[in-house]
Amino acid sequence: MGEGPGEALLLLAPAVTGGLDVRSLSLTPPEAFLLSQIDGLTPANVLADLVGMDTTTLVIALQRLEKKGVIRWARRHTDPNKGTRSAEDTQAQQSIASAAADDPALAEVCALSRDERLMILKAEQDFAGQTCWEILGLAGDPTPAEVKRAYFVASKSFHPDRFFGRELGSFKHRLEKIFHQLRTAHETLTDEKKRAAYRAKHPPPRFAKPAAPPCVPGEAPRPETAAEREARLERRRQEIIAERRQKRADKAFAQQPKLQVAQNQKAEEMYRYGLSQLRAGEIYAAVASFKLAITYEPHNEQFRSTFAEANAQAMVMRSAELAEQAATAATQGEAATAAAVYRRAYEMTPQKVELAVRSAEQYLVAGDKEGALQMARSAVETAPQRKEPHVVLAGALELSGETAAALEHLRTAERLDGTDAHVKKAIKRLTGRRG
Amino acid sequence: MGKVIGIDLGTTYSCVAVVDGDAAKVIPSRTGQHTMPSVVATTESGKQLVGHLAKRQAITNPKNTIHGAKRLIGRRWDNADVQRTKGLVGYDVVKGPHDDVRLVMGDREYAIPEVSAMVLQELRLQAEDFLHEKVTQAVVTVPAYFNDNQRQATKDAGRIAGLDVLRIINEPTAAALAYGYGKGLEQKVAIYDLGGGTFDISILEIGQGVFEVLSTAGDTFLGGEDFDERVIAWLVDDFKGQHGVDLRQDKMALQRLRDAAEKAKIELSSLSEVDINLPFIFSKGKGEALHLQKQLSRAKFDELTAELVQRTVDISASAIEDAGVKKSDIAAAILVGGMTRVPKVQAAVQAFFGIPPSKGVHPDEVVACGAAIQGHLLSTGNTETLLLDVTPHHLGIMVAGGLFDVLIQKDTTIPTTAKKIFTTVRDDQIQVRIMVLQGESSQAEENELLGEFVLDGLRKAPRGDVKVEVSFDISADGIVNVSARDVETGREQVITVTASSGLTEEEIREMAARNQDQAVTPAAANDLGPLRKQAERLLAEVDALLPKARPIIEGTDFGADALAKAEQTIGKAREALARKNAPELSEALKPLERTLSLLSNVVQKLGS
Repeated sequence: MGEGPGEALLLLAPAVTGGLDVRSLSLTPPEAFLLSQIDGLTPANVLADLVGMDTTTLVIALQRLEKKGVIRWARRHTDPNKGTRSAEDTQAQQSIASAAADDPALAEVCALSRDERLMILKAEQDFAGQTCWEILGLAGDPTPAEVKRAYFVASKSFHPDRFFGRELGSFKHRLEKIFHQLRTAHETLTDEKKRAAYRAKHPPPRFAKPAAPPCVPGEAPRPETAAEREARLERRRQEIIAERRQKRADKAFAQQPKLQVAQNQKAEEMYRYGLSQLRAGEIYAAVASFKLAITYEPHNEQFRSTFAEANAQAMVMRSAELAEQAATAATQGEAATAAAVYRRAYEMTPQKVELAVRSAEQYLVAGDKEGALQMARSAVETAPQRKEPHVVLAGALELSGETAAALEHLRTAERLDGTDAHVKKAIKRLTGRRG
Repeated sequence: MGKVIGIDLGTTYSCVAVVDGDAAKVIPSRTGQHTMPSVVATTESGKQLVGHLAKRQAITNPKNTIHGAKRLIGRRWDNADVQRTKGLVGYDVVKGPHDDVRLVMGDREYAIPEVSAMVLQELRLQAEDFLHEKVTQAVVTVPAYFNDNQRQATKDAGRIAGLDVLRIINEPTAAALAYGYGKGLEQKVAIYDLGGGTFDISILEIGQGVFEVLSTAGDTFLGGEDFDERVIAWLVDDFKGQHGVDLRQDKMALQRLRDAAEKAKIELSSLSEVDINLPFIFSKGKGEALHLQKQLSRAKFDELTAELVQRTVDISASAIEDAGVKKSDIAAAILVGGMTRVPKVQAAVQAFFGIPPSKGVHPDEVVACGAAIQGHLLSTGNTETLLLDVTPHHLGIMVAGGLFDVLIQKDTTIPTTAKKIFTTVRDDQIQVRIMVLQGESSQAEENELLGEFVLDGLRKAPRGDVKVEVSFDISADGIVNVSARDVETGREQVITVTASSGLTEEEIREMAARNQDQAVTPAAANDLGPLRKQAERLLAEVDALLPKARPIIEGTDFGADALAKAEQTIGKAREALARKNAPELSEALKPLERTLSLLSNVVQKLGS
């Protein structure tokens, strides 16, 4: 990841690698200063401001640090063109919570609060590779009654019924998996034979980690549970991040040359604040600021053009996020959702024909003829010179029983790309059926 | 969101409850009764009756009065229990178009869910009347031993009655919930539920506000009606011996016998002997008639029904064993169902568990209360109480030799998943048929078929070479997903086992629509006028504001959300207006008002 062009790197946030004694490294003073400012959240372009380096020097310095193994590029901050982070990257996170804080699932469209999502993501990550004892937060030689109690308490947090009737997206599956693990752990540790066998392989830890969340009704005041503590810390962390962002933006704002572009003082402030947000990588927030500025001076050309630019950028970002979500939904077999989300993504960035094709494909998987036809037609209209739209439209037409039309599009596809064996096969199949 | 009601849809009696404040309470009928007979009837004039009215006229109209429909729900025509019931009831039982069971009442055939829907609808109206609000959501209970087809049929009945059934839960589980809710108990309990038609026993462990079902067992054909049947058989046989006349051939006589037997059984709970007196039970013609007069002692009644009571004890023992607990671990034995008033039954429970039965709950009402509590927990996202329910039967597929291969054992806590790899059994076998079964028998054909599908396109190879992975997945709602995957190619077939209630989706929709029409027409016509005016006024204002508000908030995160919601609200209101649907329209007004105030705020505060 580290060898990309400097431009792309500027949008990424470097993070300090764990387990290194910094004193053992040979660093130049500017490098050390730079290192002191790296928090795993601040993107490189902002770091440049903070340490007063120009971006080229900064990128060179960061790449040097990376080679030494001191830092790694942890966080895709605002770059929509990159794919999802690699799994190994995620695992490498030192703190589970901060890994969870990065999870794309936090941005997913579903009816769970941030805290609930964090709790679920954290359990999911924690449980992977934990023993039955650890999953239930047990140590020593717990009695069956103690195992049961721990299982009951944990079930109350993670049983899917707790979130009944809410749109859970990918979290439905996560919850079921977590509950399955709890249940298996409980079963293993309460069945005498299973427990003995398991114990021989995985002896219980001598001391429990800070216990699982006991939330017994009516036991007030009760100690803060692990999950609550995590949630509280996470809230605080978010506050701190927000404060830092604010400071950064304020600083950038103060440093801006004061060029008056507006008549109205408030509008001017709003606009320039938007510019600083844009530099801080807060594109959505920036768009909102520009929008507000426009409400003060609807006819300011400068406002309008900046807004249009930022908005286009925001749309591209949002569209990429949606496409990612859709891909996740598709891999989980939720084709109807995937199709709808791809469609939304496409509507934001109609130039990206492949999104329409994806959407149509997912509609086909979901068996929605209408949706597939609509999206496929729209893709063909936008890019009649590409093969894929024709292929998917042919599929949709075939599903609707319009074999002749399907065949026509397959032929077009073949003309555009004569090498595709699938297309050839499909043509054969359809001609055969008609004959 | 409105309140969620809990419904105990019983074989003979039904009950509805709701959570009010901290506790569940039964919703009485307008005349003050806490339970309603699960009886529907069509009178000669074509009028439909439900509940007490239907039961009261059963004697004079046995052919058009349906009772005990629950015994037939979700069953296929060729099921032995269906054939048995056919001979026992006064109404006609006929074969339906999908191998299902239909009942004849008046001049029409009814599907079983349709009949149950009439009872549910009546209870729903009773609740609406009591709560002064529209009720659309319910939790409905079924015997723990119901299979998926029976549960689905019950759910469908809810839909036909205009109820969104949030969850189907087991009657004993519901009873346990009502017994222990909010008491902070930590103990194992047995729920002994002997109702009008079914017997269920469940062992649960309660602790930390969690209710975990350890095991369930039961018999869907063992209940109060069977006790009555023993009495009827005794009376009929005796009468035949005396007069040479078989009273079973006469539907009206049979209905009178049924009522008399039930009455005698109830009275024997407090008396040691009762008189059964049925004058003019049979007419020989020419004004001559035969009368039936018998005395039934409690001892005789106990003797007649001893075998039935013993069966409940045997089933209880197997439930205890399945739960992996000892009898002495059970801290409370809770009696549910009207039949547990029978002294012999109480004595049997006490003798078996070695503790006096718990008296804390009302046997007729506790199930409905538990259902209401579960509805409350689900709809409010409660975090202090949780029900861990189980799958009541083994789930698996049919394998070579007509055997049943179990993937998920009965009494497994749901949600859960299971996977197993199977191989082909014939050379060059290119497809496998996956038959999803539920039941206890090792012979596939003796179990309930939930669904089937085919995975084809397998590679031609010697038998045993091609591997197919079958996965089962049960969600917390009890919905079963089954998939089969060709391990080599990754080709996959998935089905959601929509257990079949015997009705097609279309039929259910049709029935629900028909029901809807009947329920809302008169009220809707009256109230539409003023609602319509108000809706039109609000829509006009919103229409004027929306173009102004849109450019102001469009680009923001909040704005995109708000605009989408606003459009949705407006769409709904327009739809209701177009369809002249008064209840929908009145529901659409509040959100519309909120949208209006939001938009005007935006325009006033942010607009220039």
